[in-house]
Amino acid sequence: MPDITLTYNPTTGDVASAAGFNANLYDPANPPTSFEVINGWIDRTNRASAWKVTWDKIRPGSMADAWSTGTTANLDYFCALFQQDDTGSGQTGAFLPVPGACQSVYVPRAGGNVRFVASVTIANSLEDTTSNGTRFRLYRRPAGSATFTRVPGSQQVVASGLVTSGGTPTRRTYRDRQYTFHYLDIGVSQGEYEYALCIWMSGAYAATSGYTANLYTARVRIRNATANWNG
Amino acid sequence: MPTTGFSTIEPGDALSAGSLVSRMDGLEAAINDLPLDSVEPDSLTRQHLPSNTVGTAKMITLNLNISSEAVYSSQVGAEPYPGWNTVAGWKVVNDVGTATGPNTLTVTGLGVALTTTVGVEVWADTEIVDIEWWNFGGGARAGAVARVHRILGVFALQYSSDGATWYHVPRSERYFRAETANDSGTATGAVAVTVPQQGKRITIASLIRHSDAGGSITVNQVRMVCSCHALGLAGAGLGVQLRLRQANLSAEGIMFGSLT
Repeated sequence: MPDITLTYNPTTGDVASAAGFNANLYDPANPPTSFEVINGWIDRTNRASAWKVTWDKIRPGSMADAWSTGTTANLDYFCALFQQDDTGSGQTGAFLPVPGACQSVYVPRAGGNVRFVASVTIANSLEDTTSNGTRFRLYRRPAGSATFTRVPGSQQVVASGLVTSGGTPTRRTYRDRQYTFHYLDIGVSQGEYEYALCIWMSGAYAATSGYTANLYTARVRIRNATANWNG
Repeated sequence: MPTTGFSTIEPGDALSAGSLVSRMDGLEAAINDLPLDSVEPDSLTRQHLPSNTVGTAKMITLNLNISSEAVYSSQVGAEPYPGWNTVAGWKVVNDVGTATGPNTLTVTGLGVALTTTVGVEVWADTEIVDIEWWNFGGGARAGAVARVHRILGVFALQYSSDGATWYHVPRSERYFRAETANDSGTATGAVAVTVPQQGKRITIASLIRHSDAGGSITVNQVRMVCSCHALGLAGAGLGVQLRLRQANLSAEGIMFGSLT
């Protein structure tokens, strides 16, 4: 509210008050009542409403910003990497962050929105069932609503059953899938936010087998993990 | 060059409390209503800028998980793809696959009045678990039909002010063609078999503008619609079944070009 409201308003004939004039010129204890406002207190309320703000007046990154990352590396996951907490919805603590699919966002002022978009390639040798499958889950810090699970459709099991080669579950390249989803964080407060795409494999078949040959695997490539803020 | 409403005290003018106050009032008014040419390029930061969001942003998610996917069906001659840029005839993506469902992928309460500098940015995505031709009399792929080459799932965005009159966004239409192959990955012969597990994700990003069909309306609702169709499939009781999982849609009004 740096619109100025001067408090000393004598009329002609009044005895001038030095303190009053000084207060109008400089009153750092209460800026909206003095010209002290021009020393860094000017804000959006000082703009005359008759003109529109155009891009050339805006400092880059002040109204919107975006970050994106990705990797072409193959990230291979095995069932044995994960805590086998296959108790329905109770496995949320067993997810691991996917490298290259996490973003940090600085929101410079309250009230804006952040959109997180993840696009990954997934190749899976697990089934697409409740007990055996790969899950993605989005986590957000500070803790908030952006936590939900997604099941990427890339399972390698076809109508004739599990596809194996020499007893080892295999992936089929023609079943590699591009998996994209988004989340809109609405009306966020000012501050730092982290969005982390995490992965978990249920792998009931290999629950206690450790790193053996017959592990079910998932291969993940991060096309991009993008976050943009505007507000 | 910065400008103010300040006028100097000229030689001969009375120097009084009133004349001083009038100059201060001029400065006050100028600082409280800074004109355009008082602002240097690249000088406005987050403190000086109005928000570029308009109305109320919304997001909706249908958690259609494994074994609880929404199933949509379209029988030959009954519910075909309504055609390019047609408003009616679509099914709203919902949690059960009926015409409307109890819970649809629709956001409401946006309150975005479209102008030349205000639009609605929309993102929507869902996953096609499978799409295949269907014998509604005998179950999936029951019986033999001529090979079907083109089994399509089509998705699009629509928007409305009152929830009664809807407008279609033709550029948002996305098509998905089913893979047709057997378990060895080779195309099938006389009998049509589609890969039962497609696992493809459909993503739509679009901007609704005042130049679209609805004109300068206030957009309150946006929804994702779908349709399924098999070109060349003929016969009573035959059609297409489409199974969807986990759908998201978000919409936010934004200003672009210039801020008011």
